[in-house]
Amino acid sequence: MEALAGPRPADIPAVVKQLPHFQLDILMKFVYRGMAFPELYNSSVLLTWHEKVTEVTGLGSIVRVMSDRLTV
Amino acid sequence: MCLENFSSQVVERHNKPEIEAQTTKEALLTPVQISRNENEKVLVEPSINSIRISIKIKQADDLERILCATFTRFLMMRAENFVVLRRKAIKGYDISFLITNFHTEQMYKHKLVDFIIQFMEEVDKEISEMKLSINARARIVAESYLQQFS
Repeated sequence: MEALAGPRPADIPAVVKQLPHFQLDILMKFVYRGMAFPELYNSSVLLTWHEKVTEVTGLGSIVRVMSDRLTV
Repeated sequence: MCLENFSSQVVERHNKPEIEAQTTKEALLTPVQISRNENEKVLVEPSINSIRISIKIKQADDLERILCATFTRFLMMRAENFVVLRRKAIKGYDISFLITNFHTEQMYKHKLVDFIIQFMEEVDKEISEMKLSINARARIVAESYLQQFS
């Protein structure tokens, strides 16, 4: 989770672009897991990640987070 | 919001929203929480035939807390008129919606989403309006009362 807070907001699109799709799904799972604990993790950074990943994958990745049995 | 009809697997001939009954674990999907910060969050709990959406409204001070509690209680008592509103909010949140497959069959899904968004915007507007009017009234009352001592 600390790795998500590492890159600056400008670098996030570059990171998202070079990840394969199934890893983007896992990334979304981490984003949602992090948002479940707003007091521990910075939600605004997580929201930026979420936006950039949805630009690439669309709504499918959000649906996959909800329906997948393997949770993070 | 892909909800389909799902009769209860536990009791014959019953059809309950699985997210409320929580009888069969396979019918439930992972709950997802979206939070802007600690004071504002939205919890979405999906299942095969129903979705529960709980929202925590931002409350900055005691007055807003009281206003929010009174207003949401007012709305929730009249939950029948709103159809998708839940009579009691989930613990930790201010207001909850329950959408079942029967609702999506009768109403447009995108309209349901629009309704919820508009509803929350109006609730926020009303609460800030009420706060302003309370402060204005309090100021007028205090002024006229303390006039007699000046």
